[in-house]
Amino acid sequence: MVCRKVILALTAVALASHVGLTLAADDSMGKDLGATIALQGMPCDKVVDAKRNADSDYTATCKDGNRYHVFIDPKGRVVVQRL
Amino acid sequence: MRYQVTAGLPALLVLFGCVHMQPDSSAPAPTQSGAQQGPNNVQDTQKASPDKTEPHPAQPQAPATAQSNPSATQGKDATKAPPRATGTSSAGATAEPSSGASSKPSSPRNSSTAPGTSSAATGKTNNATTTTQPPVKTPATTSVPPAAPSLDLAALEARLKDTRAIGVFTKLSLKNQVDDLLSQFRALYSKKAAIPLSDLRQRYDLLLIKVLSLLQDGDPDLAAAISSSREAIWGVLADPEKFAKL
Repeated sequence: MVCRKVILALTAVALASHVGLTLAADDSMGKDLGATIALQGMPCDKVVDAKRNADSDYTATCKDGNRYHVFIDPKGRVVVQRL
Repeated sequence: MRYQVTAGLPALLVLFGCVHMQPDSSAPAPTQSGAQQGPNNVQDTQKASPDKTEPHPAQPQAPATAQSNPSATQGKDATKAPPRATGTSSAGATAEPSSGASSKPSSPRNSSTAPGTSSAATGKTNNATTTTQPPVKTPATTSVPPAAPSLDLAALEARLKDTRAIGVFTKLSLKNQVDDLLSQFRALYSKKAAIPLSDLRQRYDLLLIKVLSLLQDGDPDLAAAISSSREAIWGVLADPEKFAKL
């Protein structure tokens, strides 16, 4: 019984750490997209959602409701389009 | 069997989590934080100046006086060096950016000049501590520090590429803007476009502010290094001959 509880606790801890790391990765991606949008001179206080469409192609949703398509064009330029 | 599965699952998850944690934990800051203090970063200089005034005053200033007055006043200047350095701590801090990249050269200079001055001037230092002439010469030695700032563009570029303070999209976006600015300089120097140099300076300053604002929290050392190299980089950009060599 004790062994089962220990195993369950370990599982919970492992799941929590995994989820935390995933969220941290999303947060860094959100910061990257937010900085990219700001560098293009477009308003975005904070990216709350980033959806990956393809390689180097994202749809970012900002806290203020603005949505942007951020991608790298064939010439290697970062393009930010307001949706 | 069920216990094995339930015990193996968390172990795998923990291992998986550890694999993800490795890149996050590997972000050692360069050890040049103290050496690269920009003149524009007042906060950094203020933070660093107390730390630097203690180790530097006696060592770097003594060789400077030895170079400026090599003849007979070495011993006197060597004894007066500590008070002068502490009195001009702000000037020393502004001179640090140039020595930010040249923190290594300063130590060889010390090692090369210190033995000569120590052997020749130690006898004079003890005798000259009571003289009142050296304060007249301190202004002359304080005018020596404005040395040409050294610029290592390749190192700065490598550090910018390697820094984890900026994401990939942001780095690429910055690179696009740098390339745009460089193409404008090329157009100016090839006389394809008549962009005023003052206009380009504004764009250069704006771009640098963008870079610094992105770096100042995540990689303050690199931000200080770039900030201290601001004028040196502009010197390269504004000179057609130097620009052509880029």
